[in-house]
Amino acid sequence: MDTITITIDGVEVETTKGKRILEAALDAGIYIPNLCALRDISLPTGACRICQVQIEGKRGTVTACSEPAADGMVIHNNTPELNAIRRNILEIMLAKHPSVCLTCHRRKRCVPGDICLRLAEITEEQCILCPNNNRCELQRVVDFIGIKEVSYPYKSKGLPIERDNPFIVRNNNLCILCGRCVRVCQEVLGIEAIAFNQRGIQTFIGGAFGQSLMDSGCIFCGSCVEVCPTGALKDYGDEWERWNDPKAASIRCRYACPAMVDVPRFIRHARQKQFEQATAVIRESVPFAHLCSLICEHPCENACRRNDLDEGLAIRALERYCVENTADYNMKPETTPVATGKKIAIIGAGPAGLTAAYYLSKLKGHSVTVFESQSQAGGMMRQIVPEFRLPREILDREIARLKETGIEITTDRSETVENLPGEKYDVVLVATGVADSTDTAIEGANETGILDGIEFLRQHNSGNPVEIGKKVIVIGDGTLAIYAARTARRIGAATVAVLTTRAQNEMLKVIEGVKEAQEEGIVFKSECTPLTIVKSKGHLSLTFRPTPVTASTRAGKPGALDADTVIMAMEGIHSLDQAPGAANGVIKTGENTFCAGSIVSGKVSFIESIAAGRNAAIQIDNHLGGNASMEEMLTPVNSEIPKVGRMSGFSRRKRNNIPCLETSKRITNFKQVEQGFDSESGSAEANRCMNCDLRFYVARMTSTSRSAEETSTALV
Amino acid sequence: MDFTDIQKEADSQWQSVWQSGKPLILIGYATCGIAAGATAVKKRIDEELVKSKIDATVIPVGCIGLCYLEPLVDIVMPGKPRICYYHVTPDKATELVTDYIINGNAHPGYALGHFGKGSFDSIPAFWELPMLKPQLRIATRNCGMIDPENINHYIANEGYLALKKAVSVKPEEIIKEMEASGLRGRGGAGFPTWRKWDEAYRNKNTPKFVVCNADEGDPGAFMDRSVLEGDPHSVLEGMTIAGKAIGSSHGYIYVRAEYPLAVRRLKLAIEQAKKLGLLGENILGTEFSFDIDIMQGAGAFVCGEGSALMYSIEGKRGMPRVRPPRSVASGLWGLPTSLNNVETFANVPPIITKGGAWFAGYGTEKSKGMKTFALTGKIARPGLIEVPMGISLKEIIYDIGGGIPDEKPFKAIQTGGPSGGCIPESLLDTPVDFESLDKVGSIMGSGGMVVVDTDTCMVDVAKYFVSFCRDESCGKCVPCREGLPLMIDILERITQGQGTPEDIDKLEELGKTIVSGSLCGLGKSAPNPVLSSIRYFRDEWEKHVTEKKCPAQVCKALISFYILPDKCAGCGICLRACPVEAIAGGKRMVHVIDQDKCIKCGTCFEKCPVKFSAVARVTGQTIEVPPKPIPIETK
Repeated sequence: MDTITITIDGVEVETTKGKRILEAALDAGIYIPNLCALRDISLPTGACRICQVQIEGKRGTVTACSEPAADGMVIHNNTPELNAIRRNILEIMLAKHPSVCLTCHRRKRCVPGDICLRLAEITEEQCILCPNNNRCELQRVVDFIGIKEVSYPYKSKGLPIERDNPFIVRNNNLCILCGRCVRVCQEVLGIEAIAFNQRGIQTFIGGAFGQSLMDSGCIFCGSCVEVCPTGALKDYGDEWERWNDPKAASIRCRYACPAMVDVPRFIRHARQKQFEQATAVIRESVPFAHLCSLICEHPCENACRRNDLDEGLAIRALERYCVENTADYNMKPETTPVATGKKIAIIGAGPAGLTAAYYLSKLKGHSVTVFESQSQAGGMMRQIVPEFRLPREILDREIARLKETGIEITTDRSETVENLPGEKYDVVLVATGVADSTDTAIEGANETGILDGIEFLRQHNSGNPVEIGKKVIVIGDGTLAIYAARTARRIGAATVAVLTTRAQNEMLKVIEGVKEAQEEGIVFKSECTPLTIVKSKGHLSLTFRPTPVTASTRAGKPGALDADTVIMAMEGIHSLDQAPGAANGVIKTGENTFCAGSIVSGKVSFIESIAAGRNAAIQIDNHLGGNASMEEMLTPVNSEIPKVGRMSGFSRRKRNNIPCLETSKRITNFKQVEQGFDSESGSAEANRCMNCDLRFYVARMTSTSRSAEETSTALV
Repeated sequence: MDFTDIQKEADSQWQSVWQSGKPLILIGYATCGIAAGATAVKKRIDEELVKSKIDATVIPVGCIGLCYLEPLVDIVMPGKPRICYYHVTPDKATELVTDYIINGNAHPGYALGHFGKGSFDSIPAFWELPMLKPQLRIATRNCGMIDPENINHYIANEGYLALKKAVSVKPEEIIKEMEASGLRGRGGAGFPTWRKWDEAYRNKNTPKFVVCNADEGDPGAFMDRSVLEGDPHSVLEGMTIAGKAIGSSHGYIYVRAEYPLAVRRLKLAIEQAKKLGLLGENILGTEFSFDIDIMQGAGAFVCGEGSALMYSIEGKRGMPRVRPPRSVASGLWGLPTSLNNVETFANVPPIITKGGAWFAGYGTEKSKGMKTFALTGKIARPGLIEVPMGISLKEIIYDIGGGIPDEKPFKAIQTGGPSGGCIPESLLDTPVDFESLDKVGSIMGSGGMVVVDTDTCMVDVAKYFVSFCRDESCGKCVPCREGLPLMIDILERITQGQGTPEDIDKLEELGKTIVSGSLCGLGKSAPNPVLSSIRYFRDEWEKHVTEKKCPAQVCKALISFYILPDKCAGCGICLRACPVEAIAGGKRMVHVIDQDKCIKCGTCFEKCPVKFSAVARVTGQTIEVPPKPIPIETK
């Protein structure tokens, strides 16, 4: 690279040969007004004509975005002539763009989200209603050039505001046709969903060939909104949420995940059939990728933005698709960390305990011993999760991989903090899981024939036969209830009813396995609150009343159900989340003692326990004087902007549900129900991803992006 | 096949046409001829020949440039010179067949001229005619002379001789010859052709492309069409030579779809040339291969701009891009591309055959050779001309064009298409070359010339041209897309009689912003008609805004019609003709126009019998007339 020196308004700037003046100036922190420029693009568009500069020895003016810098060039960015040219062009532009928001005398006192009642007529021109007010590049350019009034009367283009999709609103009356959105969509991302339509003064941007975005192959990634210099494009529905945390508002899957799995990134690898890399991305956040792909409660799917369009992505099924196509992986670190000599005891070899052990040992070099009361490690994954969800050989394989890293797991040892064997430990982490799930608030909860859900599953999974009779009622709202009901069905219950306070469709949407349970003949009594359980003549009778939905709806008449067995499978009864000092599923309970996982949350949640284990590792490492960073980079983040490519018919792509074993073939045994994606359905599902993180890659292409400042390091 | 064999075959075919002892009939069959009725004429001639059992050869040829005299029919009787007849109708054709071909009466009254020296049967020599004498035809050398659909006719007229020479020499030598010729791009910008080829040749990237710009979109321009229709092979040969010079093996002709005849003849020509090994793989047995594809434009004027044209070929939206890089470095698909105009290519074969120095012998110091122009507007002899560079506008208008019809005074000539400037009478001595036209505020453009007389309002003309460019703007850059409509707003105001003196200044300021700020040539030159018109006809503009007068009596809002009481004979013709019933009157009554109802269509003015001439058209004044019809006796 040849380094050259150019002078801009008397300031010497070093840059590389061939770089265009605008980019060289912006790199050096010198602002040249511009509206259509995109950085790191091979060919500038040169549409706005605002960035004109003068070069000594050259006649007239040139556009800084297109002129390559040459050694010794002397550039003027602020002369009266230039200002006149820029002002003239800007005035021409503002003849078709509302300018009250640009020239209002009150502008200096106007802040984002301001409410202004002084000039009623300006609302028609959208000044305070424009989501980009005060963050608008046009305003910045006007401020730089200085325009008090526009000499051409403003004439609205009178174009309709396009709201044909749930994500992006286009108001072409605010569009200055800089073409950034089109270039990003076509040249950078290759999606080619939007284009210029018509020509001359009739030119407008929209779906290619005048189609609506729903038909043009738009993936609603929002990159166009990101680069729009004005308020012509805005996010629909969540435009105000974005102000605080644009990433959380956009990449909802990742931010909904307690473990922050980089979902869009692994799906992009999956699209390209780079399964090793995809699995590595998952493992950066969840050490047990394969387990995650089978039993995760996937809050990501519930948060997926595609739910606003049709149905969220089958993210967990995609995880499985990637993991099962990955040859093999081990958990050994590439470079062994320096041993710290610190000794940590972890009580409980469940997801939280093992995750904490993994990070503390593998990344931080602490010496970790895990104590497990049962004969095998796994915790709730072994004792609660039924085999039809998690075949035990997969669990054994993952635990074996973990053991290979040198973590010592001592089984059949029921230890307490005070009573740890051997030497003194620097830290003790208690991750023993949730104790029971019986709601004692229900009258008669201690009758015989009433089983605790966790105990029931534990007994069954340990191979001990449990007598339940033919009629079973399960009380519970979550995953645990579904596990219990489906297990009961398999061990001989002819009728199984699940009594839940939740609504039917909420259950279907949020809780994994409800649909499958219904297929297996399990009945759901939705929106019901259990009242009492009475035992008479060997039968249990459960009374309940419908839960009032709103204050105006009257509660329905109480009802009753008979059963041989009632299984109590409530979650969160013993939650310590609100206890003082609790944060991210971890509580520090003593000088050197921490608790984490289900014991804190009271819930049977795989992914929350994983996150809690990781957070515990962070707190413990911090406590022991480490840097508390649990960041792992198992596959490089692509610094290039991913070229997504054309996705015709994107909005019509239906969700691919994971195929299941036929009902008749599964209700009498514990065979794995879900069958996993084949290559066709896997890649079809991966191609439904909206790539909500793309816009943060694209953001760096503008000199002043809406969220440019915080995205300089992309998404690492 | 060896080239000498090809030539021999072509010569014998050519001779068989001319020396067959049979009558030979050539019919002008380009778009202009067909539009004037050549199809009916040809049909009649064919019928007559069959009826009279005459064995004659009938050949459709291209446009010879005298479009105002079409349909043209040339008859060559064995042993006699070729005689050109003009304005031939089917009936005239019958007469010509029966009287001349059968009975030997040459009908000098119908004849325009004869080919060859001296005079013949009191028919003047064709090339000595006043409109043809100042012309010399290089690019259009074969137009109207050969059958454009027969490659042998082209070959027999020195065709593909230059290619034969070019394939055997080094690229540098071709480029050197082009440099010696001084040929500059005929598409309008006037960039030296050799330099373009040289840069493309030196570029190391491959493959390279040769592109022919045949997207002739200027209103009133038809030079390229005439060449493509009349002599397609000269363009193919020129392109192939360019391919050899820059090291390209693929060419594209970007031709507008509105030229179906040109497209058809080009396709045919490509097919014929390939068959003879003059195009395609291993041209004339050498290593050099060159293929040509035709791309049809979809009707966007801006696609005549180089970079937009290339995007259009690539299948993208035709929008110009910023430079650098120029297209010789990064053109079609980002590869080195030499883009030249139809006429430029048509000039190449003679330059290679006869040498650059021969070509440089014509024209001026900086603008060498010949240039074709499409002469239209208020001119006696509109048509296609090819004249040496440096000829004065006066010569073109009066000697070749025959001046203004109906002896009206000349007002201005607009050169270079819709974005050219208007040149007034005082500058008619301006030589026509790139630099001089630029100096007077106009451009060479591709060669359109529109003459206007005093019946034309300069504001109206300027408005027309700006609105053309406004409609054809691609919509990419701000000054052109948004600025031109603003200009139209002001122009509209002025022609509506609502203009102010500040409007003229505003127009100039706006025009300058658009010229300096626009991205491509379209925007950069679109305000030219306004700017040059204000520069030379400021007086007329000021009359519009200060006195609300349109001196040419064109702007409807500024004119009014009155029926003069002392002249009206009460005939009622105007009353019946008025489309909006704005005229009141009756038998032997002085008619009166209701000014509120009048839409100023001018029908009454046209219809009033000349012997009365009772309708007056005035601007900026009112004439006192009775408010209601009054009997004629009382006046």
